Amino acid sequence: MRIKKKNQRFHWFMLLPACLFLVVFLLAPLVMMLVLSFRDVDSMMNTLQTYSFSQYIHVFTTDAYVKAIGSTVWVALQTTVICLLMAYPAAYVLVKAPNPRLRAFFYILLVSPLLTSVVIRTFAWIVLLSQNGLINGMLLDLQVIEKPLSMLWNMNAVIIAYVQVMLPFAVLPIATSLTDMDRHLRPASMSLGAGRIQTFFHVTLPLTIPGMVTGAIIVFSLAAGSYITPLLVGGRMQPLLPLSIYQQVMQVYNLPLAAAMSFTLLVCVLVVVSLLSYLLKRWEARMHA
Amino acid sequence: MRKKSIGDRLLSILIWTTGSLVYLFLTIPVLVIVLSAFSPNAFPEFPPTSFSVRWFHEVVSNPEWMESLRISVILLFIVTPLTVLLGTMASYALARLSFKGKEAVQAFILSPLMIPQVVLGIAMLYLFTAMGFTGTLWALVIGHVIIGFPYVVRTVGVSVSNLDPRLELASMNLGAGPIRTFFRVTLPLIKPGIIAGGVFSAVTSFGEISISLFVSSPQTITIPVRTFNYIEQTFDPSVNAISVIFIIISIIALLIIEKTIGLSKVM
Amino acid sequence: MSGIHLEHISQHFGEQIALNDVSLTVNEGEFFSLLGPSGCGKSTLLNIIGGFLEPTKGVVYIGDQDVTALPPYQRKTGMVFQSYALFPHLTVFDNVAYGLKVQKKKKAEIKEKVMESLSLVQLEAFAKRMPHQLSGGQQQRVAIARALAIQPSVLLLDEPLSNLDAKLRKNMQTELRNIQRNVGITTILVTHDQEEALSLSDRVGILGEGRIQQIGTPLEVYRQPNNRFVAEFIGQVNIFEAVYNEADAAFTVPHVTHSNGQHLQLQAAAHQEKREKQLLMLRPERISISSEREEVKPNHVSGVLSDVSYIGHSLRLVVGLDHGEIIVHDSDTAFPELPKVGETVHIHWQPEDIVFLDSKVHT
Repeated sequence: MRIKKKNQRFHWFMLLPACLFLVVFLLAPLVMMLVLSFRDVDSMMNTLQTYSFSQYIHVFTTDAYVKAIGSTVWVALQTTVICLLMAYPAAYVLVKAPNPRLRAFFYILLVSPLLTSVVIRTFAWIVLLSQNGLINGMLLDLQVIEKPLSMLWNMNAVIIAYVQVMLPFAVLPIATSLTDMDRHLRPASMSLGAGRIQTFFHVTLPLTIPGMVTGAIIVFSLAAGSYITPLLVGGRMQPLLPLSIYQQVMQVYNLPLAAAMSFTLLVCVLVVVSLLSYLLKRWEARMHA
Repeated sequence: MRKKSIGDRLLSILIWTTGSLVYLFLTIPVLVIVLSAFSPNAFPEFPPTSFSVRWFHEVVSNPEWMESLRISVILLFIVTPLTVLLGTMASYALARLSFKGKEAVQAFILSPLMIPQVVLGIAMLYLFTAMGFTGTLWALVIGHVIIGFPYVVRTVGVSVSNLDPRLELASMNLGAGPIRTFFRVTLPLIKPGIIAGGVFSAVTSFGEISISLFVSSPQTITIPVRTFNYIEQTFDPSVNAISVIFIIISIIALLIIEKTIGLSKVM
Repeated sequence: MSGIHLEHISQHFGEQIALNDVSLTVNEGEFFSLLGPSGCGKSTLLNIIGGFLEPTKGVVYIGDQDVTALPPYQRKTGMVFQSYALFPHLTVFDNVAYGLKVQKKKKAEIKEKVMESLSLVQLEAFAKRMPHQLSGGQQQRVAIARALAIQPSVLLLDEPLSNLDAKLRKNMQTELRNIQRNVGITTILVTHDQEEALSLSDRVGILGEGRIQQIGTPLEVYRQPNNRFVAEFIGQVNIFEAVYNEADAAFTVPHVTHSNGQHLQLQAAAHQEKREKQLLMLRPERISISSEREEVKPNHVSGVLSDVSYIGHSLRLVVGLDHGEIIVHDSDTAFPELPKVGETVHIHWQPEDIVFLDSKVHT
């Protein structure tokens, strides 16, 4: 028992630094921002000492901002769905790769984008899609078009760039779900008379729900909170909440409004993520002791 | 499954084609960037007509880029040991402790990965301004550590869960205290997870922009921030050269991770 | 209900030959075991019969039909796996109903068939439970019910009881045999447990190194093993080398000395190959221990007891001879007092208990 006590003290001691660090540098600033979001500003963008809901009212009564909230969620949802659809075949191929070299190769293709900066990844889309970029260059050379197409500076470009950036986060959990599946379940289903497609819909798909939900959670939060990519690829005019926040901070200097927007964003993301997590928990409870 | 009728065969082809196309889609940016970096023109052409390394020369001879490189590398050497330290300790503690609310603490420790980075960015900006050191190197250090150390927690967590706790029990049975056991038994065995986590954290720090953009000052412009400015303002094609360097770094990092704990377990 | 016929099945995995020209027939309604050590190819063979593997060479017949090219979902085989492979996201009822739903049967018919299947394994009350709520033995029974519900021609079992503890295993073996007799379905069981194979099967096929070593009833396989592999794999055995002596027209066992000092001599049966060297086998339970020398016994040898193990119903004794040792199993009742290590003991056996082993592989 004495060993156990000594151990416990040691273990608690190990946990403390990280927790303290996070409390000071993560929790505290978030709380401070929450408080800030209830402050008022004057016409010179100075923060006043008074507290009220004025910032939140501002957010929810300004058309542009309300639209931004809606389209942020909508874009994130679209990104999530597209990612899941594309991730499935990619995960399948990764898991079923016939030899380990091929599998390692796919892994590198999958994970190396994650380790480059998001600026770089987004920049590549600019090179590809801009008026004097690669695609236009090729199409013009082949004389398929006469004038360069304008493919950037719209929401679709943003979504495409998002999907490319966030796809690995959807592929990996689904791949994990696939490998976690008992390898005899597919043969069992086939021995009972179900063909490959039937087996997929009745057995494989349901059992990869945890992977899909996990992937969805990650992709949704990333997409809802991104601002670099839409800035570079969508143009400043896109109605997205993270962009509005960036503007308020870096250009307008209205920190309380930015704080209110941030918390609105945070709440939106939290609501969706909690919903998905709850569904995941229910599913896991059904399947495990 | 080796049985294949015509229908099955078609299905296989479909799946493999779709899957491969997805991987191709993922790889497009890399291909584009490599093409750009070695093209003599500001905008690359496909098929490429000539090969040039002028952008690499430009980067190396540009004092601004070199200054940013200096900042990024210094950051790296400060941030990585910190994240490894914090992350390893926290991960090990979480694996060995059990208490009510442990799941909540675990979620808290990993939360920086889930909070929208724009929110993190402005929260830190606000905090550092209030504390008086925004725009300094330390502001960047703290920001990078916050988003870097959850990676270490995850990779070390994998290593720790593969570690048989009875090894530690055996060590303590033989008279070694928990500290000694940790250093003599545990640490060597979770080295792969630590290395992988360190690499992830280092590469993340090197490429971090979302928070850095908020808390940096003209004296502390990291490479990604400068890249962003260049793209926004001037469109200097030397950005391509920087990008290639990033890609090479990421591939090396990946190989290190694969060698140490294996990629499949990390995410 | 159909029999199974395999003709010249070979399975190559690259350079590795898993199965080498295997042919066998399983009769309709028979309980047939495929027995062999790990890695001998028995699971591979089962997978070929089930349709999960296409053999490099050879033909598979189920009944009269050549099914070699058919995928698993077009064969009427029911398979039970070592890991049970119950669908974790479906209830017991839905698991058993799975194959019937695929066949698009009507709801009422499905319900009837499922409950029928579940009653075969006595788990009707568990229909609404989820697999993770069941014990290992119960899960296995559900797996059996699920395979039987589709009324397959053949039931294939891949080491289904390996994951169960010893006592549960014994119970399940009995149940399995009863169910099979009840339903009368052709059954092929793959196992590495020879006791299991012998106690359950009508016939046993022993696989070794990718080949069929022997096929026969449990009795045949135990008492008349074809070769050393089979003799050693089934039960415990003593194996000797015998040399043919032309002059005496008899085999002598050079390493075993009779109590009267001479080499042991064995009369060769007329048909026995008069080879230079022959392998002999003698089952330990065919040897008896006597404490007094009984000269009249035809095969009578003395030695020093080097080990005694008491198993309750029997003793296992290791008797050291001039060269080598003999293992003896004798019943507990023969020993009012247990013999001691180091004692001299006398053992004897009947000449007909010696079995000559061919070195041939039989199909």
